Amino acid sequence: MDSNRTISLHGFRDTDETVFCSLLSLLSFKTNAVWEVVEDETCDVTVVDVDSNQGLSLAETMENNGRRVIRFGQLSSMGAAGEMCLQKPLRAANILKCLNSLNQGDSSGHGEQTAVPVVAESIKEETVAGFRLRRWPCQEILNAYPGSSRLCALLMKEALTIEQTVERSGMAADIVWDFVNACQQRNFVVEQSITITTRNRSEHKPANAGLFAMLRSRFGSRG
Amino acid sequence: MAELKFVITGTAGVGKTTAICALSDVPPVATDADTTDELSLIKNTTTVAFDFGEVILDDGVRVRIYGTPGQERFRHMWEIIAEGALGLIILVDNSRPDPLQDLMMYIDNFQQLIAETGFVVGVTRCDRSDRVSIDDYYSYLESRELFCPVIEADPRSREDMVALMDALMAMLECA
Repeated sequence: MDSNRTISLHGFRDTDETVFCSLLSLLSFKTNAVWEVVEDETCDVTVVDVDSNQGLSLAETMENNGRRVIRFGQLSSMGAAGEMCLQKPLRAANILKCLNSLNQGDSSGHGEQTAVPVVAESIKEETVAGFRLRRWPCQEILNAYPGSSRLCALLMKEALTIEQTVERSGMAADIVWDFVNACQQRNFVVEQSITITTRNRSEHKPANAGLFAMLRSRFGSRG
Repeated sequence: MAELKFVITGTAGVGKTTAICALSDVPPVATDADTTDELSLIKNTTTVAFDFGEVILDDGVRVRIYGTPGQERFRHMWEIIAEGALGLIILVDNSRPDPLQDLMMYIDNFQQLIAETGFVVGVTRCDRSDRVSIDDYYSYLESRELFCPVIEADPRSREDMVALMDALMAMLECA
């Protein structure tokens, strides 16, 4: 069951704040809790830009006061291992990992990661945001993500959530996220509301997969 | 075992035979005849039945790539060539007077193959005319509730043709 959490940002540049809020919104279907960005100091967690002395000092003070802090900055300005941190530039996968780790720690009391809970048997319908390609991406993007033609085909046929795309493509979630982000920056992708039924998770066995794999190999295609 | 084949179609002179050359492992088999009509202004010969090239896979399996005759008067061949094909590439010459009308004609004539398999659109000669943009093609396809890749392509470029084949195979895998 999703819970509502609040998060505040300190010392962020406008662009970082915009990117963070956008990614948080996009990730809302992947996080274990529903996160809302607030300015309230009583929030559940604060993300502090620690690339300035002021920010670093604020983060340390908050940590000493028992507040939950995620440090945001260049690798060199991060604190000791084990602390929650987000490296610059912001990446969807990092945010997701960070937030889900936080939630995991709260709910289980130990650090071991478990899979995102899925209600296997019950039928549950919900309307969520999906992504759909409005056009085939340029070669630059295709070359940057080997195997992305399959992602393109999936997202061109119908709007899918990131989770569905990961499931159907068999590709890693962070690659799918990065690919969708890259397409969004070029306006190749649109966001659409879709209704998903958690029960209908069928195996998608590609037709002629073996033949096409050999053809791609023959053509020297990265597919 | 059924013949494994893809089909490339499009207007006369769009570059179907050239595209097959770019992909084929062997010199394409052609059924050309001298042009006698207005087509003679742009090329000396044209395909009257079909032409095909072959891609020979590591296990010896041969995959044929057929080009249809472009002219509508040879359309009786289209159905024959399309029978049992794995997928379709439609090449559209963007410098022609009404490329969207050309696209519509091929979609209508190959609708059974499109419904049973899948297709991609390769747009050629974009450098010669920008009256119709790639977005226009997508809008047109969407108006017909068709969703497929539309890719700018030069049939002389193996890289471009491989990109079209790759997109087609990806669409077929996800059908």
